[in-house]
Amino acid sequence: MMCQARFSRAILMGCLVLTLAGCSALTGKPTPESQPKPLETVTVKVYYGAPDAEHLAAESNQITKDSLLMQRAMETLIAGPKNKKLWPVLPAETKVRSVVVKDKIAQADFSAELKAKKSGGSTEEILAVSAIIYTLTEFPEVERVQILIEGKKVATLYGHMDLSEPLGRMAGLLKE
Amino acid sequence: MRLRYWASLMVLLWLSCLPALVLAAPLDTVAKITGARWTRSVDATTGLIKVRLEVETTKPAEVESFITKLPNWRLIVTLKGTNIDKWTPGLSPDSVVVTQLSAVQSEQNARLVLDFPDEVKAGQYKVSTLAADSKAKRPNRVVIELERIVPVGNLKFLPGLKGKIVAIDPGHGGTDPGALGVRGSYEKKLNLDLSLLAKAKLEKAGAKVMMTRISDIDVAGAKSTDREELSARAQVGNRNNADVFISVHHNSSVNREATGTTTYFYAKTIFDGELARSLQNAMVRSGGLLDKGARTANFFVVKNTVMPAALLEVGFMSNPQEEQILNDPAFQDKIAQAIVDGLEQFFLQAAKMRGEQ
Ligand SMILES: [Zn+2]
Repeated sequence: MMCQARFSRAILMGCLVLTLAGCSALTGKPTPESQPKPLETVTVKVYYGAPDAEHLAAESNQITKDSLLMQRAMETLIAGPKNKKLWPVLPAETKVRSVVVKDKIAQADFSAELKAKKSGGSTEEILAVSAIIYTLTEFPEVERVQILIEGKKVATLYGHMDLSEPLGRMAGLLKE
Repeated sequence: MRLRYWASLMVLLWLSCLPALVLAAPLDTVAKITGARWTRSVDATTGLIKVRLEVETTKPAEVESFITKLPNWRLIVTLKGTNIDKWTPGLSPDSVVVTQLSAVQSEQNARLVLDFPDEVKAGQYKVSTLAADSKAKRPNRVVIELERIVPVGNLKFLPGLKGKIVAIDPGHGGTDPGALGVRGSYEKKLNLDLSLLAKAKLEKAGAKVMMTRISDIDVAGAKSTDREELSARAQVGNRNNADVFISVHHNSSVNREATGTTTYFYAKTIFDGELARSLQNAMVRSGGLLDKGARTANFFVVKNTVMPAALLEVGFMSNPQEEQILNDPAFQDKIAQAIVDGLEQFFLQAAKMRGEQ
């Protein structure tokens, strides 16, 4: 540490205590670790398929805190989990067109690849849809989610769920 | 010499007892959960559904409870100084009231988590304790009472299948294959085969059956949108004034070990849950696959039909063993018969609920 040689013992103690804040305030010269990060990040919970592929399990991700935060959260969901025991639930080639929040409803707009697989089982459909809903409703300003594909409302994803209306969190998807 | 011998023997004895003493103390003071009983009642005139859960413990437990909104609406009940032991919570008797019950050991306390489909207000739940009753031979209990009102609808049912109109919807078809099995079976085909078997049996029992499709086609045409396709299916029930609507499906999961039978419903009326439970119980009883329960879901055809409706997920085509079973004609015949038996049971139960019998 730069400040060690130049300052009295008392200040050294202060330096140690203030390591997190950085010694820059005392030396007037910023240390590398105290430099303001170019982009502020925030911890976001992203939900994937739990090992049983029937429940959801969350992973915490550091995501850049800017106006595209929710879009990035959806991209992180599409990219799949870091933990190999969890399951990705959306087709990897899907693009997120936009996520817009109005009146506590998030309109999550995806590219056509979201339905790359024309059909699937009820369990797979519930998991995919609820992973989107659970991840976006982690944001306090979102209560319900309307899923769009290429800017348009869709009736269903795999032929079972009714997606015409915005949906809130459905219960029973988290294992205690 | 002799003294030393005795002394060391005493020390040895004492040491060997020590772990037992240490272990015995907490085990003795801790209460254990030994079982649980669910009861459920429906008032068919008000639509009030009451569910009561009695959790049995070896000793009285001090209880704390609270409602939380996140991660979803749930009631958390903590039984202090209680061990879950070998007890595992069973399926909820009514997923309109409680979607899921789970239990976790949190240090010395047993924590019960009851998931609700949506918001629960203060008056809709009550947690209390009951002391052991030696006369009634009942142990100490923690009692959780819950209630919810579901629309009644102006529906009336008489027992029996004779003259009933049953709409059957073999899921997917035509350009939509549905799920694909690990061994290559198509969901749309399994759905149709089973539906046709059920149709024949229901007609034999005197019911009139309306099918959304009887071949490998898109119900609203190959170029239809998803909405047109799913609406066309619901309309087969609605236009024909069907008494009940049954959508037949087979499930799939990325987890090849996933297994079991599930019946989904949307609680438009108090009868939807009743129909789903009747069909689920009959399928599990004769098919023998894992009972995943009757569950609520925001599914298109069960939501957009006006009569009680259920969507069957007979089993998992993504599980190699189960896919084989689902393709077995003898199994298909049992499930087709279970649909008949389940409907018979539903009409009997629905008539009782409205005092028609
Ligand atoms: Zn299906």
